Amino acid sequence: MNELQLLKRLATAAAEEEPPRVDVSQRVPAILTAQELDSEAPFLWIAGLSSAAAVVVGVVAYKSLDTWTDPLQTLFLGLTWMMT
Amino acid sequence: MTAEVGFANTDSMRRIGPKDKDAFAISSEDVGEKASAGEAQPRTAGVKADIQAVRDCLEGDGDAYAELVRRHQDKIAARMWRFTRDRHDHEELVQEVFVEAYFSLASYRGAAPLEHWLTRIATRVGYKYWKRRAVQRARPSVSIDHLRDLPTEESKSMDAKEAAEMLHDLLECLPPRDRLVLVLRYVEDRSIEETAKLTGWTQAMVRVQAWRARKKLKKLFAKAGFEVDQ
Repeated sequence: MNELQLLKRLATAAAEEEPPRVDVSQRVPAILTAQELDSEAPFLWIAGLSSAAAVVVGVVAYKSLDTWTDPLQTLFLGLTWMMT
Repeated sequence: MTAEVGFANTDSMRRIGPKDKDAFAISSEDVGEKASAGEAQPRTAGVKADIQAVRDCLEGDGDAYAELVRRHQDKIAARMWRFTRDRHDHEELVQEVFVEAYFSLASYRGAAPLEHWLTRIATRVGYKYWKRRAVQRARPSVSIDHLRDLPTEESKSMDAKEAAEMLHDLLECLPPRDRLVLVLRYVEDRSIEETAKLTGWTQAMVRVQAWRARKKLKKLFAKAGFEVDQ
């Protein structure tokens, strides 16, 4: 017998073996979904930080607009406070 | 538990649809051609169903992929059992095949049955696993002493499980490239052309690799105490 005949003899006998059955039809989608969530995490952080920055800019802008539309408001507020 | 986060969550699956879905193009004529080429009816029906399921997946239907996995997992599991005898690793490999397949789904052109395409991915995943294992252990730790129990006479039958374990241990002593070519060419009886397609090597490379692998195999059998003919 040469090496190929020996190998094929083993292979023929091994082919009769019943391979273990697995069911990954639920787990594969779960892995894919988890991978998607992982890949979204950096974007969620960026979105969160952007929202926080936007709130700060909004408050500053509102204050600036107040001062610009009614420049004496700060003075009157001060006087009202002193009188009361 | 897993079912809850699985394809029940199809919205999420829709968002992670395989990339470049426009790359996938199968006309109904392609399917018709296959049917008229004289293929067996059930197989054609299976191919059609696969193509439709792939289309649905690319359009974001997560359940369609779960169905594809269910349809092909037994064959892929049988294939991956050649790459490992460890049940845990085996299950992981089967999973890995389907995860990789999902992200490459857009590259499936429908020219061949999905099963062939999955087999190619499975071969690649299995080969990568062997390479990882080969790096982990610098020297093969497997003993081939029990190969002496291999009956050389044709008449003597062997226990399938025992034979599969012997075969696995024997091939584990070889580098992954040799192992892969021996499995594809001689264990699975594939042609040089098929082996080249599955491995991504050229046909000349498959020939050379097979020749080298045979020489190493011969040495292994000799080491195990067999008188190997020329």
